[in-house]
Amino acid sequence: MSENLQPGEYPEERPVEQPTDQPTETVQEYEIPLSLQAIGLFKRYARRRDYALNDFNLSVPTGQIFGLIGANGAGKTTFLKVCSTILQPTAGDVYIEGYSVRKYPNEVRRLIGYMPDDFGLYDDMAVGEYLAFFAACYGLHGKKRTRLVNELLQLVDLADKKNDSLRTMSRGMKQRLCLAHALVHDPKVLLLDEPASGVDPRARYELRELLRELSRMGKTVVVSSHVLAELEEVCDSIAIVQQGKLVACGTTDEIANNFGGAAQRTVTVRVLTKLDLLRAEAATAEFMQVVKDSLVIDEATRRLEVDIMGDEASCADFLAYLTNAGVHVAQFGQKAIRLEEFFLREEAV
Amino acid sequence: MSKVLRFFGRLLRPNPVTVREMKARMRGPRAFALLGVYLAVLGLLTYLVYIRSGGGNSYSYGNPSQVTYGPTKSFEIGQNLFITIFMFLIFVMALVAPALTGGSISREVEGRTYELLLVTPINRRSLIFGKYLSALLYVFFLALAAIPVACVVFIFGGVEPQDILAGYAIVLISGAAYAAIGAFFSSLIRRTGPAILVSYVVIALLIMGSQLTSSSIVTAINGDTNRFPAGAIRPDPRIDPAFDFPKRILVFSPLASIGSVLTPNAPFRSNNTDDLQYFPASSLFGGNPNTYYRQGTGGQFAQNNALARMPILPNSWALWGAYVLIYSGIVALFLLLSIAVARPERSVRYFRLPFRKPRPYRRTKVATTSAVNQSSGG
Repeated sequence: MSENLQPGEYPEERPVEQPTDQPTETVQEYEIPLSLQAIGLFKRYARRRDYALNDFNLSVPTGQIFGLIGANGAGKTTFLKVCSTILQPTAGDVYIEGYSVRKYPNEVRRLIGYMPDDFGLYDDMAVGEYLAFFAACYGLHGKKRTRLVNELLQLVDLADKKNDSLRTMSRGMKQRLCLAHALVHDPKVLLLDEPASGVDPRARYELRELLRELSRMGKTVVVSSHVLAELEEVCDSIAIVQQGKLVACGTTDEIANNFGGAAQRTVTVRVLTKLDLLRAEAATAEFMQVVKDSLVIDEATRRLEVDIMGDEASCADFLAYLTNAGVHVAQFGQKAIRLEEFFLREEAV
Repeated sequence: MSKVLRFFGRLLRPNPVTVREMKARMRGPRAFALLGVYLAVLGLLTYLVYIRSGGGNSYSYGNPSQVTYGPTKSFEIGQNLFITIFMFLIFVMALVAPALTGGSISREVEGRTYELLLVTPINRRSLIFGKYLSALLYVFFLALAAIPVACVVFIFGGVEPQDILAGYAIVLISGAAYAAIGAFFSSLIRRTGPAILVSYVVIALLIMGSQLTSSSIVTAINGDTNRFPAGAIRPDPRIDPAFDFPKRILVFSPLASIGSVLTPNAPFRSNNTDDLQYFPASSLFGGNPNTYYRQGTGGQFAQNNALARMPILPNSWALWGAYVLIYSGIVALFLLLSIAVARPERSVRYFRLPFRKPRPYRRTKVATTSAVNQSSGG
């Protein structure tokens, strides 16, 4: 069935036989236009028994910044390589703006901008030449190309380095240049593999701003990372990948709610005197929502740290409970448990 | 109409890979230094051969103690220079061409730029053709830079202008074939150093292998001729059809082909085996005409020399003509092969035995739930 698809058409979600009088559930019925859709994707490398991608299903709506989170070797890079037509899927397919990467790789290549994790640059070229070369690869020539190169260099803030040799560039600059090269042909979908790895916090901040800017320009951005914190703020939604499978997908809050039941929060309390510390310890033991054995007391600084099941309201309840018990609270802080910590824990279990 | 124009426009527009490669190659003094050194060596070699052939002396042919002593033969200087210059060009092609194309895919893989190129509309074919073309242009540039030196032979004679053209046809097609071999091993091995090394070995086999095989067969046939009774007429290797096969093998040898360009014009000397110098199947084997003349001197069969110069290939093909044809085939073959093996993902399909099929994925444990993100955050 999916063999007869024309370019631009969406495939059926599953090639299952259904009675003709009932409407077939197809992807076209989704109200949100999808930029990238992976269906039943399997990928096994040659001479390997295990699957790098194992029944991987993913849909990315148009215009989103989508984060792929997973440990090293989880299959993020493999997925992005399959999407960018570098690798052929073993089974299943990926549709970029409706084009199958199996059947229409040339169309897909014009729609995507890919920035690999481990990329090299031509050391014997200047920054401007490098971009001009890739623009020429996409068939851009003459004045149009010169203008485009200048615009892109402006965008990634390298305009003053146009004639510098690539040999002298720092890692952050190279990352930005590589991002610019992926934008040369104005792609609709950007696939960025670990764009923030190995750069300083300032460059990371700039990258985030750049991603937001690209999202405003209407591009769909799929970005991978093994550190959730890098992406948490910038991504509209994230997917968590483990051993070639998609284990969770949605916004950060959705994932926190769906997985792990009630969210956990860590509360840090500083009290005034040692007596308060004893009272607080007793009160904590009585408070219902405290996670068992999570209490840590530091007598020198008169601090205690405890994990509370629940949301912010539970933490406020805990503060009120302490105050009722006669504890003089000098300082009270709370933070949500990191989602990745949660998933790391899951993996261990 | 506009479609036709666009088609020709695309043909005329240079491949961006070619442009990049050529820019990178010509940047810096290296390319020009190589050209300078190469022309200096060629000039020196030409001068040495000129002196050795008796140039600068009017009466210096051979050695005064020999009967062959006589006036300097100008045409022989010309022919010696022709052979020298074009063989030198062949060796330059064999050295430079694989070194240029030996990194065409492997350097991209090593420099981790291969994937960047693969996601552009530049496909494997235009990537390899682009790199091949840029290497070819530089190699041809080297060969054609020797034209002024090659034309020195016209001062001495013995070589016709069309011989120079034939010599260049041999040199350029050899360069193209060696470059294609380099490109193939670069795609296959994916490491520049080993790729260039293996290309050199294959090219050395092409240059020397055919000559060694040919001379071995000739020696084997001559060994058989020992069975003839003493005094009987032995088969003359120059005209006996038994020797056609080893002569035909030489169609793979660029050096024999260069020799064959001059063969129709080679001087006829009744008392000297030098006559065979330009005959593809004699001294070019390794310089020993006795491989053919087991008994007596060459003079015994000298009258057969004229017959011996007849082409040995079907349809009266000259050896060098067949060489150019065969090497064009080698160019096409290795280019197609290098495109075939340049896939980004190294599949084991080429090497896997047919009965070892991959296990279907259904047998492995497949997750029952698949998370499809239908809801979106935004």
